[in-house]
Amino acid sequence: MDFADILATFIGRTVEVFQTTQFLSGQLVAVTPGTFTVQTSQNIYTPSTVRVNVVIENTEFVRILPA
Amino acid sequence: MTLKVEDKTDCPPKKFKIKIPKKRKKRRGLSLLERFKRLRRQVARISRFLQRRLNALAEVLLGLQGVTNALRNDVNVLQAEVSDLTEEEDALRSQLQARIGTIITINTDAGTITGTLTAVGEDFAQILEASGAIVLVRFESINSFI
Repeated sequence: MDFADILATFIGRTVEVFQTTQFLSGQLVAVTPGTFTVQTSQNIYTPSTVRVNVVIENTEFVRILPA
Repeated sequence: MTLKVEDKTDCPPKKFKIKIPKKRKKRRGLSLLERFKRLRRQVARISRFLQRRLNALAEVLLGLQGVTNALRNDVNVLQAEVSDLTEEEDALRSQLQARIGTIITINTDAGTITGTLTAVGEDFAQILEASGAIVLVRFESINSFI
């Protein structure tokens, strides 16, 4: 099982995505072999929700928050 | 008193067809020796045919064996190349697998994660933090771990 496969089991959960130059927080919407999609939640930095496609190769780690 | 004698000699004589059976020609059957010789010729003909087929199949088999050997060599070369490429990842995976169930601290460019190492996959490690959050860290992101 690789990173994409295990991440796909958490679709629908709230996640935090850590990259070297970026931080994303939102709901995990979809996972494909090379990317995954996060629906970001509204916060002070992002007033509206946005669907962000994240490249797995450029992701440091993903934290799945407790349900 | 006169006797009338009816002369029946005017009736034409009946023609009788006498059937004479025709003489049948005696069918000369093959002698045992001739039958044996005929069979032997047939067996020889069939043997020669089968031998030719066998030789043709042997040639085809030889060609296929050559192809199989070449492919086997290619596969061995590719397997060696793959082993070389995944050597480092395999070593890291082995080390992390030995730490499953223990508290681990992993350092990445985006930060440090501390928790219990719960699973190790092909290219990731799964950590359960004290807060109950699950962290998935890619092998390539790991700078060091304690």
